[in-house]
Amino acid sequence: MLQRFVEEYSDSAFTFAYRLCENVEEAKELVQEAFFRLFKSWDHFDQSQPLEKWFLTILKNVYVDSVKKFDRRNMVPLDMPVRHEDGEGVSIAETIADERDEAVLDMLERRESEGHLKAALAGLTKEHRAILALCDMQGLGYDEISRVLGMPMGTVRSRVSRARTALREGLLKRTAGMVAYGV
Amino acid sequence: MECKGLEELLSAYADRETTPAESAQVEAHVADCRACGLRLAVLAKSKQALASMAAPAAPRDLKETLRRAAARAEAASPESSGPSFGQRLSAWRSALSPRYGFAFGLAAFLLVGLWFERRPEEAVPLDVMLSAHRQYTLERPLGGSATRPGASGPVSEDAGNDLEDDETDE
Amino acid sequence: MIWKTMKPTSRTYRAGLAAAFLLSVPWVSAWAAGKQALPEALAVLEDALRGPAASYEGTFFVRIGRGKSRKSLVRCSPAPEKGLACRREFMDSKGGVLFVSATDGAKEWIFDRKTNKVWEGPSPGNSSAPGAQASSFYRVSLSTGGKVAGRLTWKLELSPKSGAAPGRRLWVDRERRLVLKDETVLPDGRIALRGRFSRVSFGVRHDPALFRPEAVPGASREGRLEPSPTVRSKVQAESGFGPRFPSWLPSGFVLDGVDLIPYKDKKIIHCRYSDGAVVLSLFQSPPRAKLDLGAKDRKEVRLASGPGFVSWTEDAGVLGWSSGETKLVLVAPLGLDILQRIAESVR
Repeated sequence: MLQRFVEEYSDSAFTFAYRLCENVEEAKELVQEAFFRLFKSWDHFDQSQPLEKWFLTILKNVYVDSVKKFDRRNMVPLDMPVRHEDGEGVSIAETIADERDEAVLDMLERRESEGHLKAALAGLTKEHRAILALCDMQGLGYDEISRVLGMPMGTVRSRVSRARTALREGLLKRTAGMVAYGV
Repeated sequence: MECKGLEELLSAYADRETTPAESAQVEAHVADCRACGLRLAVLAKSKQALASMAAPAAPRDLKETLRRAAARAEAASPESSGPSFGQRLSAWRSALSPRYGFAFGLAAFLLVGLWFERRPEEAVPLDVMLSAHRQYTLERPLGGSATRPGASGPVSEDAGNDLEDDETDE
Repeated sequence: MIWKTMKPTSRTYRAGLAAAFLLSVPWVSAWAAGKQALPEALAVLEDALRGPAASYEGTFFVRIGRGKSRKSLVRCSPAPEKGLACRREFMDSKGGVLFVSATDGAKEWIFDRKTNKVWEGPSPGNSSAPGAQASSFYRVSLSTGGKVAGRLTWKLELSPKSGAAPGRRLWVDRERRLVLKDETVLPDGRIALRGRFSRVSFGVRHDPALFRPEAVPGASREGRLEPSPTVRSKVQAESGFGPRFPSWLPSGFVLDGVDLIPYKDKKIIHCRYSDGAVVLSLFQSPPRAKLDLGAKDRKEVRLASGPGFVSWTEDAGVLGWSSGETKLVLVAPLGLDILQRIAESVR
């Protein structure tokens, strides 16, 4: 049973971990730790539940651990949520849709967009990356995301929206000529 | 329906997470509003683009490690034997923790905030410090005039020295 | 237009046509223009933090939050091998001096008329790579600034990567790279601190005596950043734990005093610093006491000494960290990079 679980879900778990920390070695560590922890207590898991429920646990473990770990690449500062409803200190102003959307849409439709998308993702906070990874890459619903991240569904909804706004801003910076040097 | 403030609703709609009433609202609005229709298209497109991003597969050595650990874990607790001490201990732990029984995961989660542990009877409130700073800001003794010690900043002697708020040459 | 002179069938013609079309789209032409005109943000930041090569003099206003502006006279002269020699005087309306800070690049000398006190100590100096330091905390972007003090500027926006912390905006003189206006910006957009020149002239020659300590009859003398041994032992005795002090503060800052704040059975040490306009507080809690942060908006950060957090109030940035068994909290209307530097210097 556990072996089947590994076969079915280790790739997805790794993908999620990789999106969070953008580093193969760290992602491996996170996934390993998450699975080991689950293995330690698996015998009192409800084994009639679908394996997918266990997978949510893995995702949660990966996320929590990645948040605990300090980012070794940048000494300071760190973008970690600290039990705050909305981890961002800055309120991202909700922009009224405008013609810049044309530029973003245009870029997303081009073949070379993946590079820009990756770069824009890397520029997001870890929380934003996590929620987009869960929502769009793992394809989880808001209720599942709320269980993985430990927040109410209303928060999930607004957080996803903000993450998308932030991603769009990131993509915009790569299209039009704002001179922004993210260091 | 105004466009401003619609962002979140559009985003939820793109995720198919709106109530039927909300969906109807969005559809009605987007039918008339080109800008929001465009925004919705961007949301849908970025969802699709993220979903189709090349996903790195788990490295082989990781999979091997996990397979072996899985095999060990399964061998360690055969179905026929009664609960071992370790199992009973795990059962007890899981009884204390919520639904999914990720006892270790929850304990780890609690550890995250340990440095900022909130035990009011022992903890010093940050607010006490911030009030003290505010008080000091108001008194601001250094650089002040001798004629008004401890006042809320020198006032009269700055008359005529002030840079007007709207004095900007931009 | 170039493409008109080319043959219709040539590849370059079609490319030229495509380019002309692209350039007519507003956002692309802005991009093209931008690429030519704007300098490197980080290069400008480095220059700005290092300071101009020429000597200068000007009238400088400091405004904290929504308070009144304080007027000062600033005179600076780069001193070879020593750094920047600088003198800043806050004046009253009659032109009398209220507060002076002067440095010759190596030593700093500060005088407060009201309390008749003099402080002396080593000058803070500049960090070796100011730009690299700042850029690790901030996303740095550059755009055209307007005129400040009648001079054209570049505007640098330093927004903290962590959020929940104060950022900075600098308007840098395009020609001389002097920071003509400096704002500390809180996460909600409010300006905690603004300093700006209303008038500045370059190439002025200054009397070197301006930057040297002056004798002030009857004034008490203290170390710039640390209290006298008497005060220190008194604080230690009453609080029960050794107070610690930063060894680096921006130029002009002095230790104004040390208070003990009682809280239940504990005492919190409050070190107060001022540069005549801006005030800064350093709090220290007893060993092993926990800190209740309440519901403040904050982010965890990591200092060299250990884990910490950044937060903000309506008029200041807050940086808290753990060092040994003590919790320390710094509160000031200064950018995160400066707060960090002060924190790292606490011994």
